[in-house]
Amino acid sequence: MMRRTKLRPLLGLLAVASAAHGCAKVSPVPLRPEPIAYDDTLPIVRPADRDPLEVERLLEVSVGGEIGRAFSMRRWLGADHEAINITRFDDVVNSAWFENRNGRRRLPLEAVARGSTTVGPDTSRTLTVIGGKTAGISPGFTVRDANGTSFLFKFDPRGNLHLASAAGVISNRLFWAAGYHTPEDFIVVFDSARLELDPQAEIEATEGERPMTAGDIQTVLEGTDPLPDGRFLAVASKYVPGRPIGPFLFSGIRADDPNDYYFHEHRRELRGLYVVSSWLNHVDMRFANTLDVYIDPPGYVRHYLIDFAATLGSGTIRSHRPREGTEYNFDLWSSVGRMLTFGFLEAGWEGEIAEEIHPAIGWIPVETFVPAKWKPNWPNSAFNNRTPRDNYWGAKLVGSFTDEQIAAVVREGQLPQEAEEPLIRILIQRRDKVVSYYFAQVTPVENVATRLRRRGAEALLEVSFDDLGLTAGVWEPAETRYYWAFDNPPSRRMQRGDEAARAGHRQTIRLALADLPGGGPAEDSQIAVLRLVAQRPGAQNREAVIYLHWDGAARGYSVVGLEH
Amino acid sequence: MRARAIRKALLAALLAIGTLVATPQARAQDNDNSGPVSPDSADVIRASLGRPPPKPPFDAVDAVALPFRIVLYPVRLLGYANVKLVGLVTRLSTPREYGLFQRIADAGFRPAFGSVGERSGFSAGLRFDRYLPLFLETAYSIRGSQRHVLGLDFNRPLYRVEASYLFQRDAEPHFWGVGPDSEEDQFVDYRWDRQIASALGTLRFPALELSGGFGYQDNRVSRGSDHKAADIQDLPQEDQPYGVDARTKYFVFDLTTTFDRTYNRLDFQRRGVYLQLGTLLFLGTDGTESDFVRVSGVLHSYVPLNVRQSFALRGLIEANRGWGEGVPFYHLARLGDKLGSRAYKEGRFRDRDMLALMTEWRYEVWRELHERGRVESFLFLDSGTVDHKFSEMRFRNLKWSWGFGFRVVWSGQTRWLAYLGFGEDGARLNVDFSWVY
Repeated sequence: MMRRTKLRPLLGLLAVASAAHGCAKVSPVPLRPEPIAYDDTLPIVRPADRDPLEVERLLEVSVGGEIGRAFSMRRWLGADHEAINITRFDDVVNSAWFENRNGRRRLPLEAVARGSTTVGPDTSRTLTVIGGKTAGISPGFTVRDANGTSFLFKFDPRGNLHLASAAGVISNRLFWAAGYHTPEDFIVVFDSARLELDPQAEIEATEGERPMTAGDIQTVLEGTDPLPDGRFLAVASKYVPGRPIGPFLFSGIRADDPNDYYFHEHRRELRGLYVVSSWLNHVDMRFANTLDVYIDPPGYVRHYLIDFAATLGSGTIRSHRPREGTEYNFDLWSSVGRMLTFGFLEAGWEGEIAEEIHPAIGWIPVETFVPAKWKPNWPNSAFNNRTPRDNYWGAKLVGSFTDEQIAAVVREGQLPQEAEEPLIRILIQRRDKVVSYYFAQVTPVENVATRLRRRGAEALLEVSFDDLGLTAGVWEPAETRYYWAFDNPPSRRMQRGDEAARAGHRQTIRLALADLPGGGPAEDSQIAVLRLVAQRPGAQNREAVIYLHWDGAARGYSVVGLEH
Repeated sequence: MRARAIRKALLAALLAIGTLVATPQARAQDNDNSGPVSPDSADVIRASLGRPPPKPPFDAVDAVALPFRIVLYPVRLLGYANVKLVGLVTRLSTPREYGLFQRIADAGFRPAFGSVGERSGFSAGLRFDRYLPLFLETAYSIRGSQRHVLGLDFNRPLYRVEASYLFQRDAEPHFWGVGPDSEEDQFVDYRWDRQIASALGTLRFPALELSGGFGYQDNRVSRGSDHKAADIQDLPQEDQPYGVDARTKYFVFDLTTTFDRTYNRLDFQRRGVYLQLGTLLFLGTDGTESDFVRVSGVLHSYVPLNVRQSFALRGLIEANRGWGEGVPFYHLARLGDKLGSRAYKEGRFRDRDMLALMTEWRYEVWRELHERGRVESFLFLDSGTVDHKFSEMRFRNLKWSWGFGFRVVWSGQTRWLAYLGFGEDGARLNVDFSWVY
């Protein structure tokens, strides 16, 4: 009884918050301002270089962030904020962060395979080693080719030739095609006799910077396997054009970049990045693997994802382990669980045996891969803020890749033939898992169009749309039925109905309208709302909301907004 | 709606101009920053853009949650301060971050933080060993304890020879009396200065070390620096143990055998057995009418159940037998903290003989992804006692401690340890930067 009395004020507050949230007056989507394409590419004064301390950030988000999330009232109420930089059709516009590529229009196979690359290093002439590699854990060095272009050469671990190089290049191409900015990464094969050490080359050792020696190069080369013909294989990462000014963070904004307007944790492209990362098993998605580059002229900051060596089955210097992708590096709640159970609590991954699929592929789960349970090595605020709509947006990117595109990209990794096919199959299976899981969380309709037909005094509104659940083959039309509710302000009544899906991905539902509006400005009262739910096995029955506006001149409805 | 669309179209056209300047083609043709849009005019454009807000607006849920956020703000502030502290330590230990720090290290100076003796409090020290075998150490603590060493250290794989002169001051150790029945709140303090000149040689064999040495020790006791506590000199004359008012000087002979079959599994789980047996002979000189011999033994045993869980045991035994005036109080066997029973302060119990058993159930809470270290939690149960003779020790006099704690193990060593222990003296929280087993 005492307990109940103590809880009462808290429950009351929650009820008030819930009610207040439910009753809050929010403008309908079509009346809200929209983000503007490339508005973050306007000229700015160059921001200062920055090098945030990773341990601070990781502690903040791994401990403070996780505790904050666990006790978040917003989360308890299911009132998470949607991403802020979304269009009226639940998408993002192109920007210095993201350019919708394959998701907007399917890229030709050669374009996907080429990615962002232009001209790779000239390995037929002298390659001058101009410095050691200081960042990251994979061995390597910086090389300038005969054309004067600089590249970072990184090598595979011994016993796992192609492991990190293939993973790096394949993921680089796929992230680029999805829409993110990536550097130019190439697989190169070179003769070590062409390497020449620049007398000015320096390397950072434990005792500080010192001149680089031939022995340092030899040490790097000894850490990898040569090809049968004695040459070496490496991934060559071209220095990004512009001036690097440090990584971007997954929360907040960069104060000295006036173009950096939307808070990162509320950016759709960063929230949705989780889904793409989960597909490619990019467990090392953290701010250290991002880069802001000042492009001058005209002088703006472009935001890159870099270093994809720890993706797919590669852990850069070894194969991935079952823990990666399943638990954060520092997983607060798993640690608390182990502490309270005296170490007897065992996570599922602990019993999993990670046998390499192939030395060139490493280990990447397929059967045990559950998209929603995938975790990067470190949490971040943008990923934590994801909503079903963000996940769906990310899944659309993943689902935009065809089997042929995936195969074309995997071939860019120059894997041994016996490793290529398994990896293609794995990526296709993981893609299908991602798509089917996240498409089930929403009603995945796109490209909505309307047509008004008149039958005497009655009008028939036909609303047609692409059902991506059918397009992707996740469901059959026979198992899909659409339920809708139409809130038409002039009629002041809610119409409801349902209709079975027909063959094909383009679907149409028909609404008989008793009243038609008279036109006028786009005010709340003039916006009709069609709520649509695709009911089918495994789907969560979350409605898609389609906003329609009566166009008096055209005597018809136009689609002015869409929420999933 | 139409007006908004027109405005947006105009802005889009303006932005298109800016975007055009951003294209690679434009970059190749023109390398200056004098495009149609300058940073200043861009500010004007940005200010005129009708965009969504940069973050979600304050809403009803935020309003209801606000009081909770205010109440919890100090906790957040504390967390923030801790994160910054970790950041500072990390920066200091990353030479690349601080050129000056790197130069100090390059010059042969190595900073050390921790403690320099019993109840020293936090200490900071510096070791200079650029010209090894010559080395110099100096350290001060916030309670005024000091430690200064000048020595020669020939450290080779098969042997080690060390000769040194040490001055050590423990500024305010406490003394609770002799025997197992001393009261917790009846302590006095003192200052113990000692100068030790010694030479020590060690022979190393696989799993075995033999070391022997000799030295000279000069001890003085004076009033402690803790003005809240009474000094040992204020005790009634008949309660004052030997060593309070007499300066002692000894020749010391040392013989120690160490058997070490411990190793680390995956760089963080200690396994195996460690045994050390030692004998120290103190011969009074220059007017010191006291000779005594100390025999001691330490046993560590680590029994793993699996790579995550293990059972660790530490046994301690010490006996002191003297002639003449006997054993000065500061050389009596001590029980408390890492010497026996963790819920008690260091040196809480003293007498000639000591027996203790420390046990720990260790289990992994977190392991670093690349398996370079981990955080362990542990439950412990310690017990021990002191007395004039082993034969007089009684079960009822055992000083029990139990509790739990955390240990950060990195590259095979305990880097940080904290525990909360409970015993007859109440609860005791301790934080340490190194640990004995």
